[in-house]
Amino acid sequence: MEWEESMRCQSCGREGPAGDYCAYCGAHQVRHTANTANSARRAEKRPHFFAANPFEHLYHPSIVSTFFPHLSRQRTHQMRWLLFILALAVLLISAGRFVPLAILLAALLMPVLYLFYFFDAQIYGNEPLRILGATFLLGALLGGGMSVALYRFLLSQYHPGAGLNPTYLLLTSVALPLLAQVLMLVGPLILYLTRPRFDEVLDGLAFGAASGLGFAATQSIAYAWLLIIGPFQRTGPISTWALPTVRIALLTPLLDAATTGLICAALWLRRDPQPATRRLGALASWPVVLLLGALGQIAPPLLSSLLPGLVMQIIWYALTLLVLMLLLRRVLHIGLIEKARPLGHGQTLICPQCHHEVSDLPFCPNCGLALLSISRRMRRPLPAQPAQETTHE
Amino acid sequence: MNSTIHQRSIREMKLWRVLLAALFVALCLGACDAAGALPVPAATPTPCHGNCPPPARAAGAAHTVRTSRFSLLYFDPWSVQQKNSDGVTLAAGTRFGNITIIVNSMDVAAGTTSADLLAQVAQQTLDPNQYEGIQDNGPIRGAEIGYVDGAGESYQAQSLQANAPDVPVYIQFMASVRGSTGITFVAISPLDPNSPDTSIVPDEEYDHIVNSVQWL
Repeated sequence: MEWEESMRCQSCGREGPAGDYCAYCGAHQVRHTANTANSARRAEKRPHFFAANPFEHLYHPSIVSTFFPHLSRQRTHQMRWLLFILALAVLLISAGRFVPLAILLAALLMPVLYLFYFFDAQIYGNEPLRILGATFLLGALLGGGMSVALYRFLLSQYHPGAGLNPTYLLLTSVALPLLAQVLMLVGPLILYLTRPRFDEVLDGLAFGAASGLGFAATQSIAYAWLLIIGPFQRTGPISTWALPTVRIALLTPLLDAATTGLICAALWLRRDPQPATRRLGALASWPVVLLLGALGQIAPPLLSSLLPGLVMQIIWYALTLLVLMLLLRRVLHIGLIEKARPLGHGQTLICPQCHHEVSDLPFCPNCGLALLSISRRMRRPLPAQPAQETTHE
Repeated sequence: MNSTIHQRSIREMKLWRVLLAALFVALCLGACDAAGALPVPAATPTPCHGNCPPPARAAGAAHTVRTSRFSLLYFDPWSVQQKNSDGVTLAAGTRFGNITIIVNSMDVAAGTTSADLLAQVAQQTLDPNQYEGIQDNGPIRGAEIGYVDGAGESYQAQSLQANAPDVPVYIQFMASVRGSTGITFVAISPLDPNSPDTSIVPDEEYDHIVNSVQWL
């Protein structure tokens, strides 16, 4: 290939288009200036620039860029606002103590947003029914089925006022979360076995997260059944209803999405036929992510039972979610950097992050975006026309 | 022209598939509800104002439990969960979960009233970390334990658990003092005490148990 200006990467040594990043290995060229081994390693691994959104640090705890990595910069901002406004609306409804409505809206908030993301990014390729059925629908059916099947059994094991019961604690905080995690993986595993053409690390994340969100929605509705069929407006302090709504709307679904997405991302990373440029590390191995996923499911309910209270419950869920999100970003970053590859059409396209015209190479040389994180809808090449100068927005 | 019609029919087929899937989900949910997989509590009955029928007695054998300061009689389906020299914890299962009754006795200082004892036991039991949205439903009129006049208070709260069904909780306290002995009665139920379950009406069961208490 030929470019107007070219440069030799200080990391991989390949000749590519000039820019702040190597278009082949994604190494940050500016960080290579201090000629030390440590600086070279940092430039290659580029922890300051998340591969799916180079405007953020790898460990930036952003819900949208972690769970919706295919979105362009503009769509990421829109999604952030949409999430904020909808979450605020649900919170206000719960503050008005309209409990059944608040619970139903809270349970559906994240799945609906993710469904919108699926359509916007065309994650399902040309098989929307099968992919949505195996992720959202199967997750929702299994979540609802498990919760309804075990509802009476759980009630029969709960003795209010009898103090901490070890059997009940093990049941609700260990056995049930593990069973839930297994069920959340069923749909994505079916796709793993039957749809080999979905082989990108972000496919794994999206399928796992969708299954987790579907599962969380119906589980939350089933568990809150007695509140949903109760009075439309309740009494009592606002915090009694607002804090559980935050858990149902954001923390529980995102936790399920994070554990299942983490496991699936690591599985899909191993399936990607592209040879890794370096060792992927322990975090990308499936036994490690299975253990992390299981711990992520067990820790919040267990800690909430041992150190109870509504505020403490929110803290345990939020802390676990934060840790899982950072681990998830790390796995996605490793996958996008170490298994980087071009999109395959060999033509030019517009980078959705920086809006420069770029060649079909693994990374955008201007902003460092891994091109595999571009949504399928935005991957199409520019129509053939005389060469144009690169444009800024 | 033909291709437009063909595309439209494909689109219609897809729409029908989605509608059928939605119908299937609705049918599944309806079937779950019809099968009674998720319980639906009955409406609270209108309170009886006059010519009230006598409380129905739960079927089953009678059992006596004795502690150092009192004895009491209970019937099936109640069973003893815990017992020591000061008190006893009874439990019974319903479609909505377990009802727990804790009857305790203690020596009280001279001058302690039933109201004092009631306040003490309510404070100990109503742990805000265990129950959310605690709401005082008012005093229980005619509260007595073993036909000794006392004080009573009714509360309502929610048990919003992290990974288990959310359960409304109705808590009733009664306390009586006779001489230097005090007895407290705490009933914690996921059922509205006035609402009949198919097998149990909490209020009537509480009446049976507190009236069966013998002060020793």
